[in-house]
Amino acid sequence: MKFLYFPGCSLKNYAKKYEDSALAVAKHFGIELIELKRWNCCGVVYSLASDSVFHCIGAVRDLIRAQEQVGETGNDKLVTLCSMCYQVLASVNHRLANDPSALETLNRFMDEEEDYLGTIEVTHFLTVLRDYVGFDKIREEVKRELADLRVAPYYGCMLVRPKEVAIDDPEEPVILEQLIESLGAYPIDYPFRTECCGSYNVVVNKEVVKTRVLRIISPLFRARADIIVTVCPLCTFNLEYGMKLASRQLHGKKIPVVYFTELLAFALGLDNVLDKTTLEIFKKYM
Amino acid sequence: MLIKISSELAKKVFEISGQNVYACYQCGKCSAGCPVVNEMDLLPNQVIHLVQIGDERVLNCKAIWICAACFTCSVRCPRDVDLAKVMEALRLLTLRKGIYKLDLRRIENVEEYPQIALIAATRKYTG
Ligand code: SF4
Ligand code: SF4
Repeated sequence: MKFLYFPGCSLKNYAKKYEDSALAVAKHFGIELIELKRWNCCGVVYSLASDSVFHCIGAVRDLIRAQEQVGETGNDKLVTLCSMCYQVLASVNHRLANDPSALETLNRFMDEEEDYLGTIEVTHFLTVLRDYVGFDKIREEVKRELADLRVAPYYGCMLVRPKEVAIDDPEEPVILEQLIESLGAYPIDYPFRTECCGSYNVVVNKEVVKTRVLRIISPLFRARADIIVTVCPLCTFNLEYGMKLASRQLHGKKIPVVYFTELLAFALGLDNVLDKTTLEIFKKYM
Repeated sequence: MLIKISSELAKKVFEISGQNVYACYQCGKCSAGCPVVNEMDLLPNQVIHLVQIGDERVLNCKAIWICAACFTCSVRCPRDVDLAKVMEALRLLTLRKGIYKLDLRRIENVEEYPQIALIAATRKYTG
C-alpha cells in the first residue's frame, strides 16, 4: 500500500527520530510513504481568522503538491506525523471544502500552481496504522515482551481538537491506548493526556510550560510510568524542557519521552533505526 | 440566522472570527477547563463578557496572549461559541495595527528552541 507523505520541517531536524522510526515501521508493514517531491512549512498553527485566507497559502501549496502526485498512489490520502502539521493541513482543507469562495480566492491568487480541487484527504500515521494495518496485525508482529512497560499516552491538543479535524474523540480518545495494548505494554490512565503542554508560550513565557508540565506529569510518578509517548515534536520539546525547568520541584526526577513510533519500532525489533538515547531508555526491556 | 450585535467591539470580533459573543450565556465552562487559566489576568468567560459589553480594555489584558489556542473551550462550549477564535480575533485587533508581541532578536537562548516553537510563536505574536 502506498501513501503520499508530508514530513514538515521538524521531522527533518529536531524530530528526525520521529521520521526515521515511522518510516521503518511503515516499511515493516508493507506501507510505502512517498515523500512529496516539493513541500514547504505548513505554518505550524492554523490561523483562526475567518475574514482572511492569507495564512492558508503555505498549507494550500502543500495540498496542491500532493494533488500533483496522487497518480503515484492511487488514493487521495496525505499522511502526516507531526500533529501540528496534521492539524494545520486538515483544518485548511476542511475550511476550503466548506468555503468555495475562499478556495476560489486562493486559486486565483496562486497563478504558478494548478488549481486546488479540494480532493486531498489529510490523515495521520496513527489512523493509517489502525485502518490499514490493524492492531491485531501489529500484535502478531511484536518481537518483545513488554508486559512490564508502563506507558503514559500523551495526545496533547492537535490530534483531538477541534472536532472538525479530530482523529479520535476529543474528550475520550483511545487510539494510543489501543496501540500500546497491541504492543503488549500497559497504557496508564491519567487525567491530563489531552491537556495542552503550553505550546508556543515556551518562547515568551516559559513559566506557563513549566506549570503545565508539572501538572500533566503529576499523576505519573505514583502511576509508575516508565515512559511518556507523544505524537508531536512541540509536545515532546515542552515536556522535556518543562521537566528540566522544574527539576528542583521534581527533585531531579524525570520521565523519558519518546515518539509513539519509537516505541513501535522497539517493539517490532527495529533497533537499528533507534538512536542511542532511545535505546538507553528501552534497555531494561531488551 | 438573525444576529443582533450591539457593541462595536463585538462587531469587530464577529467580522474577524465569525463568532457571535452574545450566544455566550456566561456559564464559565470555558474557564473551568482552560489549561492556562492560572496564568491569566482575566478568566476566558470574563474576556468574552468584556467583549459583550464592548469594554475595549479587554484588548490590553494578558489573558489573550497566554491563551495557547488549545481548543479545549471550543469543543466544550454548550453554546457552540468558538472561544479560541474569539481570542484570536482579539489578538489580531492589536497585531493588525503592526504592534507585535514578540521580537525574535530579543529571545534569550534562541538556539535552544526547535523551529516548530519559534514559528508557532511568530505566527501567534506577530502579524
Ligand atoms: S463555555 Fe461558552 S457559553 Fe459558557 S461562558 Fe464559555 S463561551 Fe460562554
Ligand atoms: S483555547 Fe485558549 S482560552 Fe480556550 S481553553 Fe485553550 S488556552 Fe484556554
